[in-house]
Amino acid sequence: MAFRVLIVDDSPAMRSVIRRIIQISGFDLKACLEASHGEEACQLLRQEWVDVILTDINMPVMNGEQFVLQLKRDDLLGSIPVVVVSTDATEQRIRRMLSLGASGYVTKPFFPEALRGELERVLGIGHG
Amino acid sequence: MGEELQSEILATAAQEVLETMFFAELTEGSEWPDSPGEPQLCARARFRGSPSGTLCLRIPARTARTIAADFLGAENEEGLSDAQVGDVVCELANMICGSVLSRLENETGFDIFRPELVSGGRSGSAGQDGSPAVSRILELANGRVEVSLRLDQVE
Repeated sequence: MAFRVLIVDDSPAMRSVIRRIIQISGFDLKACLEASHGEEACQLLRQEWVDVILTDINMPVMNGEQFVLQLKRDDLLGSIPVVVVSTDATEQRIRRMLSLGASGYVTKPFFPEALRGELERVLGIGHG
Repeated sequence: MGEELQSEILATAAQEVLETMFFAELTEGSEWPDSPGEPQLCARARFRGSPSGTLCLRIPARTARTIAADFLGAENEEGLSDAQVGDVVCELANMICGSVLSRLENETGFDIFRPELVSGGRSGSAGQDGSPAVSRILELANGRVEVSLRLDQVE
């Protein structure tokens, strides 16, 4: 089964790298959508379904915390698993994002295997 | 926290980011060679936390273009726009800053404001207001990068 992924990050370079890392990691990727902040992601999700979302925290307009909070309040979209991809590796931030409803957390820098592993974990799939 | 420990954290964080995400091989550098007229890119990331401060990064423009191509997986580095190269340099500063702060402030949260490119000069401009800044130079295969960190004085 191939998956549709949404990457939310205000850095075009980071979005590009995450997309490339997902591809080279061997993750079964069907489509990769992008948004530059939470509000843009919310607008996109009204038109397109995705299986999993990767989001940064520090973004303009709507940051990662606000985005996760809004998403989890939505009856339909709230079921989409969210993995936070951030430079912030502090326990306080990780606990905060998980308490808001994020399903996973990957800290930058990361190896492709780490991102793939977290994606597969939150999607409930694994290698036999 | 002493400057020696800050300096060690700075070097460790920069090395981890460059090796993991930029596929760079590094050696410790000593001094920034005097190359008048060599174009450079400088990125500055301000952060708020406990403590707050600034991280600056300086890199020769040609080195920045090479690592941007490696980061983005571009086959031809000359095909990258200046904006793409600048975005990658800012993202490098962002990741190093986050890695440093996660080591410095592992009990409390912090916020990194979007890094910005600043006009050339020494990356030691992290200490431009007169407060002390620690800096490290790392040698890459085709150039070097300098990172500097200034922590605000807690009043």
